[in-house]
Amino acid sequence: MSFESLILLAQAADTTEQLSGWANVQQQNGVAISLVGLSIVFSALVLVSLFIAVLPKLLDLVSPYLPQVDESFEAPSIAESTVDDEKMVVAAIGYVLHTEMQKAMKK
Amino acid sequence: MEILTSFLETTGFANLSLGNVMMIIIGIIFISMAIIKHYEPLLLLPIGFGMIVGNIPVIEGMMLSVYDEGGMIFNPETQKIGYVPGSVLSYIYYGVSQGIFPPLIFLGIGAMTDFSTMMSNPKLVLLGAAAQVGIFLTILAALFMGFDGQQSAAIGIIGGADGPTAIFLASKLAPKLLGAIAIAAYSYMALVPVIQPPIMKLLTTREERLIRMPPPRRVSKREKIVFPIVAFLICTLIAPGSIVLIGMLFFGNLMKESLVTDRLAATARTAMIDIVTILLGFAVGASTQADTFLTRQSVMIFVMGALSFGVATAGGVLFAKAMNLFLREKINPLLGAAGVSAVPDSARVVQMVGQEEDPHNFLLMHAMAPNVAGVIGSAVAAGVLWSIL
Repeated sequence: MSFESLILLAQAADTTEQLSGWANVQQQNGVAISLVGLSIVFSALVLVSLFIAVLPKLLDLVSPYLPQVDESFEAPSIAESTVDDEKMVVAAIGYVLHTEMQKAMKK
Repeated sequence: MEILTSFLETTGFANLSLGNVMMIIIGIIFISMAIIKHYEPLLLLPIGFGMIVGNIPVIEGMMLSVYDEGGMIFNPETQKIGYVPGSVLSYIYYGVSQGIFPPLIFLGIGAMTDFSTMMSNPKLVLLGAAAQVGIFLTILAALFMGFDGQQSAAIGIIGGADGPTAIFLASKLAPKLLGAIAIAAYSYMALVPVIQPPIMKLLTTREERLIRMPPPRRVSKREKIVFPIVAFLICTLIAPGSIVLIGMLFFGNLMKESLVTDRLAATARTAMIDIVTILLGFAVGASTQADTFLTRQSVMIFVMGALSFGVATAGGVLFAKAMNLFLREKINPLLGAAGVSAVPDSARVVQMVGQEEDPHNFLLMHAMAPNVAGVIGSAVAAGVLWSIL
């Protein structure tokens, strides 16, 4: 490849970088990328939505073959495990103890 | 005297540029917004202080900035090649530039997210998909402005309203724009209560805003355990590029819902996510050095980020209205605005706007459904864009 053709190639690359407007959208396949991308996101979430909708029925079908689940055993909520709540519980216990001790002392 | 003069030449005062001063002021504004207005304080405070740190001029030759990476360097005096360690900040920034921190944040988000409201009303998942229209329309706008395909995708993802996802995709597709994209994403996330309400009110009637949602059904424990596994398979088989983000999100959620790994889930949603947030926010802030950040491109990214957020909000609301044309049991179109994945801020905004019309209308729980669906949607969108670009 001659030096002149390399320069021409470099100039072409420069022109490509400087493109803007609708020409750039077309050159980069912008419309196709957007449509395909949005379709894929929609497909994934539509399938997730359909799966969620049929999940209770599926579980009903297979539940005779699955081990029993103790539904009353729920995970502690996030709020229950925060430090602030622990401090409040300790303060409440302290208050009750203090009140009871004062009552006992009066007696 | 000569020593004193040469020392004075190395001080920040001697090398401080106007750009540095501007960035330091912006950093102080971020910190003020966090402390005074309580706008996303967990993010804006580390980012704001990081901005100040990153804009103190460093001494040439000293490894101080986030961009001073280590490597093999030839020493002309000893005629040997030796390893020079990078700056401490560069090692922290490594977690951002290589996209390590965002999946860890997703793990924490998964461990604190309750998908049961979404599972009790599956059609609300579609609102999370509709809001992603902001991403794809902004890609077109960015291409129109002259950015290349990869840069446009990284800019468009700001519309997903998900900071970690934006950082992840920018680190993969447009590392040079990472700082501006991260700051734009987190700034607009902080401004959700300002940006969204006017668009929501403009696109809905009072009657629509008054619509009440039926109470959600109780979701069984078994459903909650099965959901993260199957939803992961669906999303990643369709868009394998989203394996890292979606994988960590649903892994965190499985740890929470299985109830057998309480300790791990508790660590992921508290200590771990806090540590990563501190490091990520600070490193992103420190990467906004004036000479790389104050550019025309950054201004354009901020403009398109705002556009992206607005379009995403409008997309969700309009899609909810379109759904109402076919549904017997109407949904409150305000819920569509929560399809952007700024969790839980956009859900809170829906609650706030709904209660302005009817103080007894409680939309928060219902808004969490499109909100968490939006997290999944934006992660899938990032995976798709990473794959095809």
